[in-house]
Amino acid sequence: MTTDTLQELTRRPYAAGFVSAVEADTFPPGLNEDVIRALSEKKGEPPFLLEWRLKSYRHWLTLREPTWQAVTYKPIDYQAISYYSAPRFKPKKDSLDEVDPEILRTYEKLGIPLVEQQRLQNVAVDAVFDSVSVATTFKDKLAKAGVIFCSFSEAVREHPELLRKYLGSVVPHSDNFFAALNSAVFSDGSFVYIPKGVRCPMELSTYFRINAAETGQFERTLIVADEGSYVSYLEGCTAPQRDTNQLHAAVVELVALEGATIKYSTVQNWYPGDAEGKGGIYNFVTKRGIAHKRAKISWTQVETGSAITWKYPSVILKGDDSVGEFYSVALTNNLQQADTGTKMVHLGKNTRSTIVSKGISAGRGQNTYRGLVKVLKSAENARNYTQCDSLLLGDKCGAHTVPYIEVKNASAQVEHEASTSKIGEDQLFYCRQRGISQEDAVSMIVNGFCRQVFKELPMEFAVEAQKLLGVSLEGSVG
Amino acid sequence: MTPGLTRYVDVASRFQARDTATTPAWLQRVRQEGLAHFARLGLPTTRDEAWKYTNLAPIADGAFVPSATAGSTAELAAVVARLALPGPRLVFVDGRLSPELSSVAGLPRGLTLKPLRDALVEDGAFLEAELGQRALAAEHAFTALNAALLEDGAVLRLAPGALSEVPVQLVFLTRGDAPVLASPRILVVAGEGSEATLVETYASATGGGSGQGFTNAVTEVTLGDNASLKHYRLQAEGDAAVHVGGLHVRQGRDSRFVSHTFAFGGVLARNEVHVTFAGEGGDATLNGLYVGRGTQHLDQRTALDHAVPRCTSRELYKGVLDDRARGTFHGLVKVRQDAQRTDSRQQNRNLLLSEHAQADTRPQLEILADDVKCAHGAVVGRLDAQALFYLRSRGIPRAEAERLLTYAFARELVDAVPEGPVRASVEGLLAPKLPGAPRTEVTA
Repeated sequence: MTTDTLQELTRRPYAAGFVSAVEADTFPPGLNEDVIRALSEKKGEPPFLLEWRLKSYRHWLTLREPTWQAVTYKPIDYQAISYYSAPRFKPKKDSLDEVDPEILRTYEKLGIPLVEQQRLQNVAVDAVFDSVSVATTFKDKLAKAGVIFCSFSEAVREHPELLRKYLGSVVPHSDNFFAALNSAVFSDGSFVYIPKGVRCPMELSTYFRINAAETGQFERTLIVADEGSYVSYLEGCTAPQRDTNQLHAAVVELVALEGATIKYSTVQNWYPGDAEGKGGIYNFVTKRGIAHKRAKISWTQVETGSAITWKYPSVILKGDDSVGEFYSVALTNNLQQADTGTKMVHLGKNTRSTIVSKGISAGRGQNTYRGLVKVLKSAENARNYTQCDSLLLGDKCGAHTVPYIEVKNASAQVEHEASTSKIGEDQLFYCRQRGISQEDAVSMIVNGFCRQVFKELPMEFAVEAQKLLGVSLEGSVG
Repeated sequence: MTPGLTRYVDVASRFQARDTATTPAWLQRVRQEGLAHFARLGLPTTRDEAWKYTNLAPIADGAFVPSATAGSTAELAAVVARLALPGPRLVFVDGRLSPELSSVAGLPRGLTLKPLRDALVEDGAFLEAELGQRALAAEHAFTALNAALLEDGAVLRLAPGALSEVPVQLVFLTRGDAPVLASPRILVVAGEGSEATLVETYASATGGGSGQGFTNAVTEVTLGDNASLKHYRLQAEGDAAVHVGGLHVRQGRDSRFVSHTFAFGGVLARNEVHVTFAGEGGDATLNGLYVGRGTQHLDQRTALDHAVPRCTSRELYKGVLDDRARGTFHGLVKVRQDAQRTDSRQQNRNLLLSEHAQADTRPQLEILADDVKCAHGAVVGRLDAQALFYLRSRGIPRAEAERLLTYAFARELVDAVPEGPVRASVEGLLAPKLPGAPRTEVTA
C-alpha cells in the first residue's frame, strides 16, 4: 500500500467531532474543600458521602501523580479544571420528549438515537451527558425484575444503604492518585444492583459523552450483582473534537457476590487528538471487580480512541472457584498512546483467570500491555492463561509487553505467551491476488487478529467494534 | 545516605586513599568516578523497578570489606583441583589473585590472559580506553561500586583470527571465614574472527558450607566482527554467600555470543546479562538455570538491545525452586526503530517443588520496529501430575519419580553445554542441589 492512501485514510476527520451548544451550569475552574462541599450540596448528598469525598480529597493531596507508566503528556493543572458541569434542564423527566432537543440531536449525530434504541434494540440506555444523567429508559421493565439501574445521583437519594455498603469497597478512596481524585469530585455515573438469583432481562448500557470544554469528567460506576445473579453491562464512548486535552478519570467498581456473573464490555472511541497529537482525551481509569465464591467477572474492552488510554481493569479472585477474564483490543494510531492491561489477583482456591490482549500499533502510536498475575499463598490450584499479541503497522510505532507474574503457591499453573509481528506480506499477497483490495485485506486480517476478543462482545457491540477498527485502521499498512 | 550506603562509601574511600602516589592518574579517576556514581545512585531498594523482587538487606546490612591478601593453603589447592578445568586458569581468593594457584600454561596462540593487577601497570593506555565502556558505572550502582574498588580481575585478549579449543577458566573462591567484599573485573576483547571459551567459576573454599562473603563481579566483553565467544558463569558459592554479577557484552557484525549462567549458590544472588548488538547479523543465545533451596533468593536479569537490523537472539531460562527459595526472572528485549528483521525468542520456565517456594517472572518486550519476529513466554508450575503418575504406576517411588522429572527439567540447560569438561563441571555442581541429594526424603 502506498503511503498516500495511508495518509489519506488516517487523516479522515473524526466523525463524532462537534460541539453542541447546550447551556452548561458550570463551576469556575479550581479545586479545594469548598468546591467539594458545593458540589456535594448541589447534588443533595447525605453527610456520609460528603465526609467520604473530603477524606478522599485530603488523601489525594498527599499523593503524587504516578510516573511509572509508558505514556507521556503535558502536566495536568488540576486547578484549571472545572469540577462540575450539568446541562440545564427541568429537574425531573418522565419521557424523552422533555430532554433538551439539542442533546437529543447530539446523540442522533453519533448514531445512537435513544428512541430508536429503546424500541428496536431492547437496550436500556442511561445517557450521561457530561456529568448528569438526562434520560433513563426501560426503567419499568427492569423494575419488574427488581433490577436497580439508575444514575449515581439517584442512587445516592434512593438507595443510600446500598451505596454506603459498597461504595469504595473495591477501589478504596486511597487506591491511587486518580481514584482518590475521582472519589473526591465524582459527579455522576451509573449504579446497578441485581437482586439475588435474578438474570437481568436485558443488556444494560450507558453512553458517555464529554462535552463542555475544559471540563474533566469523573464518572463513578458501581455494579453489585447479588448471589446467583447475572448482568451484562455495556459502556460506549465518543467525544467531540477539542484542542485542549481533557482529563477523564473514572472509577468502576464491580461486586460479584456468591455465584454471580458480571460481564462488562467497553467500546471506547473518544477523540484521539489530531494527526499532530493535538487535543484528545486523557483516559485515566481505575476499574476493578471483586469476585466472591463461584462468581465470575469478565472484562471486554475495545480501546480505539483517546490520546492516552491508561487503565487496568482488574479482578480480585477472592472466593473459591471464582473466575476472572480480560479480553482487550487496543489500537493506537497517529500519536496515540495506550498503556493498558489487567491485574488478576488470586486469593481463593481453584480460581481461574484468562487474559487475551491484542495490541495494534499504527502511525506513531505506542501500545503497551502491562499486566500482573499474582497467585497468593492461599490460592490452591490457581490457574492462569495469558496471551498478548501485538501487531505493528508502520515503522514508527511501538509495541511493548510488560507482564508481571508472581507465584507464591506451588500448585499454581501460570502461563504467559506473547508475540509481536507485522501483517505477513504473503497473507496480503494472497488476498490481493484473489481480487481483494489492500485496504479490505488489511481490515480482514486485523479483524481476524482480534476475533478472539470480538467474539466476547455482545452482538451490537461486536458490530460497532469491527466498524471502529475498520475506520481507524484501514490503509495504515505500508 | 542510608547506613549501608555510608559503610560502602567509607570502605571505598579508604581503599582509594592508599597508595595514591603509585596509582596512575587515570585509574584514580576511574575509581573516583565510580565512587561518585555509587554515592549518587545508592544501594537499590525494592522500590526500584529493576530490583522490585529482590531485597538487598544482606548487602545493606553486611559489613563487607576488601581482603588484603589472597593466600594459598593446601585446603585451597584441593578446592581448586576439584573445580579446575584442563587449560589455562587464573585463581582468585577473596577477590585477590593467587599466583601460586594460577597457571597460564597451555594458553593457545593468539590469546593473552593477564591478571588485571599486572595489566593496569603494563597496558595502561589500552585499559584506560576499554574499561567501563560496556558496563556503565553511571547507570548501575553495583558496577559503580566495582569501579570504585577496581584492582583485581583478569584481561583476556584475542588476536584477530585466534582460535582456542581449550576453555580459559577464572576461578573465584570465597574463603568464608570473614565478611570479605570481592570486586573482580573481567575484560574480554575479541578481535575480528576470533573464537574462544571463557568459564567463570564462583565457589566457596569451605566447599558447599556456609562461606560468608560478597562478590560483586563485573565482566565486560567486546566482540569484534565475526568473533565468537562462549561464556559460562558457574555461580555456586556456599549458602551464606552474597553475589552480584554483571555481564555486559557488545557484539560486532556477524558475531556470535553464547552465555550459560548456572546460578546455584548464595543466600542472595543476582546474575545480570546485558547484550547490545552493535553490528548487523549478530547472534546471541542466553541460557540460564537457577536452582534454589533453603532460603536462597536467586535473581536473574537479562537485557537484549537489538540496536541494529538483522540480529537473532534466543533466550531460555529455567528455575527449580524448593523449600522456601525464591527465584525471579526479568528479561527485557528491546528492538530499536532501525532494527528491522530482528528475530527474538525468550522463554522462562519455573518449577516450584515446595509449597513455600516462590517464583516471580517478568518477560518484557519493547518493540519499535515493525518488520520483526518477537515472542516470549513464561510459565510457573509444578511437576506434571500425569508424568508422576506414569512413573509411579511403573513402580518408581514418588520421591525417585520427582527427582527424575526435576532432573529432566533442568537437564535441558545442561545439555545445551557441549559435551566435555565444562559440562562435567556443571553436572558436578548441579547434582547436590537437586532433590534426592543428601536431605530428608518424602516417601509416598
